Amino acid sequence: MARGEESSLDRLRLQLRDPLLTLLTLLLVFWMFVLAPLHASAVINTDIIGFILALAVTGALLILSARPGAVTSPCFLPSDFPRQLPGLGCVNHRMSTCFSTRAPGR
Amino acid sequence: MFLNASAWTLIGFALAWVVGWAVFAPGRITYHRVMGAILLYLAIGLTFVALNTFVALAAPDAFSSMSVADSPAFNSTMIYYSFGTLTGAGGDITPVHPMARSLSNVEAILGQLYPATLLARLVTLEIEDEAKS
Repeated sequence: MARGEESSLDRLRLQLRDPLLTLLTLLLVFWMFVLAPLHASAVINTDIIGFILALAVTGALLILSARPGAVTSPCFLPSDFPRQLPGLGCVNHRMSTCFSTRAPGR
Repeated sequence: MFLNASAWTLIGFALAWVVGWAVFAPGRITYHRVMGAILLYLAIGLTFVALNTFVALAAPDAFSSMSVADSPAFNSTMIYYSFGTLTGAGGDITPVHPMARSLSNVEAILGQLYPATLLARLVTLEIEDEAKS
């Protein structure tokens, strides 16, 4: 990648960094205090919304940290995670198909 | 459930680390950074959800009025307990095991000191920066 492209990416990251903090806060509040209780009481199936939120949080963390390793954080999630909090299990299921280092059956 | 708790510990620490760097980086303190400091507070609570889950799994009677089960309701209860302790609001769940009590004490101390010191300082700096510009 050319030096000019890197600097424009860095500028974009710096521009987005502060508003992303507010966005992440709102996402986490919605996730923990709205989505998780709804999922726990089985009022609605929140797997799809949770999956989209998990992607948004991962993307925001990636931009904030400027390290590609941040995107691998959902890989740590075990496969039975949808029953614990909505959405993240779907991320794990998709990510586990991308990384061959995970033990089969997890 | 141990894997879930491990995952949440890692996510909590990663979130706190990344957001901490962004909030306390050099530069002007904006409204968004204050919101980031609140996010850090939530990340602390999230990390303690996982740590308390570890204690509950190791000693099922560590918390009164709480049954340890592999269900979404258990996680929701843990979130309720963790943020109740962090904010000092308390609740109907009490730690019984010495390890659970110790962890709750640490969480309660962090939950009181962090808003009173770092968060208050950030808000002051944000007001000062706003006044300058």
